[in-house]
Amino acid sequence: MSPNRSIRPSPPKPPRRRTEADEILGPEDASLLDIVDNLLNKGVVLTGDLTIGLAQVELIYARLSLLLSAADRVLPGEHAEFMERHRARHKLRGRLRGAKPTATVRQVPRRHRSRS
Amino acid sequence: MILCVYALVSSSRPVQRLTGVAGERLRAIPVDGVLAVIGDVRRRPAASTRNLRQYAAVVESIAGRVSGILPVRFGTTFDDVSELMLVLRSRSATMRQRLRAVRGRTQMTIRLVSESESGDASCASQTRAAGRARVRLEHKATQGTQYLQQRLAVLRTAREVPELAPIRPAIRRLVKDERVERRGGVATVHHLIPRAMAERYRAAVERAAAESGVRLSVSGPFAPYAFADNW
Amino acid sequence: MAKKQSGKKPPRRARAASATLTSARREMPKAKKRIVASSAGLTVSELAKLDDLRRELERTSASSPLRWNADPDDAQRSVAQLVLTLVEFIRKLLERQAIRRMEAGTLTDPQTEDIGRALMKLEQTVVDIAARFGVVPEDLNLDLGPVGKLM
Repeated sequence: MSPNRSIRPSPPKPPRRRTEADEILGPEDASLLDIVDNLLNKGVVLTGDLTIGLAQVELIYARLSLLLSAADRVLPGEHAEFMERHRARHKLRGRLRGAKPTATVRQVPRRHRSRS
Repeated sequence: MILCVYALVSSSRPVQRLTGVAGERLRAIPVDGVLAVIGDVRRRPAASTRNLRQYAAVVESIAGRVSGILPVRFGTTFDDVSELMLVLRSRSATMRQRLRAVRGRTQMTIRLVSESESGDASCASQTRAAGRARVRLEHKATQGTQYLQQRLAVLRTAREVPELAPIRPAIRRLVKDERVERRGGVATVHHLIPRAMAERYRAAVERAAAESGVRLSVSGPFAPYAFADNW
Repeated sequence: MAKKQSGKKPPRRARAASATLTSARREMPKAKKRIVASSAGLTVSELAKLDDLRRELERTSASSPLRWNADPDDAQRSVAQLVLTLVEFIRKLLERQAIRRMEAGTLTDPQTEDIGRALMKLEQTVVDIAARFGVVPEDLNLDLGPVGKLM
């Protein structure tokens, strides 16, 4: 991951074969504000990054793959009755596993990060 | 190579011959009734203007092929498939519910310049308000309940955009859901509407705005970025 | 009055491209693909505000959002700030969920009362401890990035 992700104007690129995406949304369409707001500020969040440092020196980069959900969606028990009614109403097929919220934290020193 | 996730879609609509921000062929990974549309890339895409526009275009391409789509935050990458599947498996119930909620619908966005205070006011004023509220609580036996109800009232006020009141009647029947965000003196209202109604919505908003003298900007249609999570 | 910036690509091209897709596409409702943005009479300063918003969003997303740096000269305060911010984050999450459950009717009355009371006390505790370490409530708003959106 590049530490200084910043918005920069794109350098001129050689013409490439037009993809379907180009057919649908040309480069001038859609205000940049909407794109920035939608892509960087919204959408499903599946991961989070954390840097921890000391005296302004960043030492640890932690990758958080979070499960963060309402307990009554994930845990059975006293909420089972409510979920039964919910399931019956919406004909859910999924089974409620007793999965507890988990967080996977990987500590990877930054300079070893991109090995691919 | 790492996995770059573009969107989550309902099953059974494959994404053939689409390419991602790095020109990579996209593929779909099924997890518990939800399809993750991913591309294999060398590194996380940088947030350049070109990459952002390309990502947005890819999401809209996918949206055109499926009835329900949840765009994923730009720059979401996983080192391997098992990590992706772990996270998605844990969230699959919520994601399936969200996919149902956005099925056949699209997002329109209205922005107004608005100086009203957000519901997430600074802790300081919240604390002062809470202090005043505690003094006012009359019945000790229901202090806790009253506290929660007051917090609920604060949240509801934050979702209000009074400047939009003259516009609402014109679009009431089209709006299936709403998200409000206040930031930097701008109030942003996202509406989830039936896909075919985008032009009608925009025309109705502009007409109502002209008639009532409300100054706003309206944009869309977009894939339902603002309705992808349920917090 | 309304300035319209419509897409330059006519829908016809999109339909031509669809010839190469699978037949499933024909079943889909015809989604309007042109992105239209119109600003009905926004003043110059209002347009500038929108641009400020865009830049603020870029700025807060561009840097690694979750960052904590312990200040060696004021270690106690740094630690207190981090701990209280995390507690406050959890407290807000709890409050949001409690309110949601209350609205949905999946809490009994005694549960509502107990949870409300507990949240009240938690809020007061955070304020008290913060005061003791010289942490003002404004300091408890570390940018938590995408996770912070949960608040």
